[in-house]
Amino acid sequence: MTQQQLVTAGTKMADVIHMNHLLLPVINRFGIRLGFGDQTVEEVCAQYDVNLSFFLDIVNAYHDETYFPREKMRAYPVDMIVDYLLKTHDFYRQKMLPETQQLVEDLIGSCSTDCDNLGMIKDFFSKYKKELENHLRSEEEHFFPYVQALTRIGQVSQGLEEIRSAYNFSYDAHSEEHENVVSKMLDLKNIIIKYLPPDYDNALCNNLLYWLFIFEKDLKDHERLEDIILLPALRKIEQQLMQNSG
Amino acid sequence: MAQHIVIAEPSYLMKRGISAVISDILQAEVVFIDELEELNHYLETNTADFVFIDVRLLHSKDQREIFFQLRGNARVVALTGKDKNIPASRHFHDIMNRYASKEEIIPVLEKLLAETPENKNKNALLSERETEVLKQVALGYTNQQIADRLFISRHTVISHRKNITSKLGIKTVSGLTVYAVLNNLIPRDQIE
Ligand SMILES: [Fe+2]
Ligand SMILES: [Fe+2]
Repeated sequence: MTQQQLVTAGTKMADVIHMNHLLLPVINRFGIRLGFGDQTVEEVCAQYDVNLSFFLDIVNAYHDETYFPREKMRAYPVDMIVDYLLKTHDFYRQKMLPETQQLVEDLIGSCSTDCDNLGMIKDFFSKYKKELENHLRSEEEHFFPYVQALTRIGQVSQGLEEIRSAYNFSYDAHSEEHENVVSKMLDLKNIIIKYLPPDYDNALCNNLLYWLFIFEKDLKDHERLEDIILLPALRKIEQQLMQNSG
Repeated sequence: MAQHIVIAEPSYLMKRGISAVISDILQAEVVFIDELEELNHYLETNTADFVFIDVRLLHSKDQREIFFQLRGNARVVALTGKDKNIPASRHFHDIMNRYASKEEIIPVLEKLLAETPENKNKNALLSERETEVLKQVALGYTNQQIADRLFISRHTVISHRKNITSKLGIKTVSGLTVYAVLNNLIPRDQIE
């Protein structure tokens, strides 16, 4: 038996969840909630006023790594993409990070002797949490509003240079931050899997790891949208504006 | 540790096919890429053990040169079709033809896998020199400072660091610091 790979407009929304339960938070980001009965993806999207084509591309790209229609996705309105990315940020800040922190603390709490070493993992995570939060904030202050401002450039009096200096977005710093947040997540997983000090509780440690795997998958998908869809879209807008002015 | 594999190939059928064949024989983390520019962008910040690349993506000479510089230690396999002329063929470790049968494909992959440097010293512990470099990294020294302190070149430091990362599966300085303390290589109170 082969599993269904691609979600289409006619797929039952309930089947989408059965196919890949990791899609639950993705679907929530569109404002869609459980209880869809036998409704299809198309019907649910219409009910929640969600763009069907964008929904399908996001869900399929998340579910199937070979599916990533770059050109098509770069053509979606910037506001639509940014809105989805911002919802993801909220999800990290409000759900993933606090929950992971709790799981780390539970794990540390299960230690009875020689707990200094487990404490290292807690410190590592606390630092990571701050760095990821800073990254999310910096995108919300520099990256997203900069792209959005550029798409409105015809309607405002400011030119490219003014907007650029107003938002002060740096490609290099941004790509360094991405490298950092993804690598540290991988390091954390590997430290726990390969080098965890022996004094820990199995079940609590597994909970943390399951969670980290989910977090990592979601984060990679998120950074990929930013790097491969939004950044090239930004570069293109910048180039067009420079041609128009020059 | 899972092998990091990049498949640079625009055809959906080929992508699916190659990744299915690969997962038949090894545990792999696969990344799919459609364009050479994107591949180069990816390799700027990531390392790969294998890159399978459709030779049709290699038509731009500039991007091609960048790719060969960025590929690092990755084994590069060219995916070809009927075309006899493969650009820059000396850069490839092997060639896979899209019309090949399973008996032809599997040995190519197995041979490649056996050749990876990482596989040769699988489970190998860090060498004395690598341990020394790791300690310095964990203590917060930069590559240049480590080079000066250990009387080796900066280039050698970087190559030790690559080996450390591939052996331990830990890449960042803070991750390596945790490892060093957990394994009593440096005392806890010496880290900031
Ligand atoms: Fe983001
Ligand atoms: Fe980001």
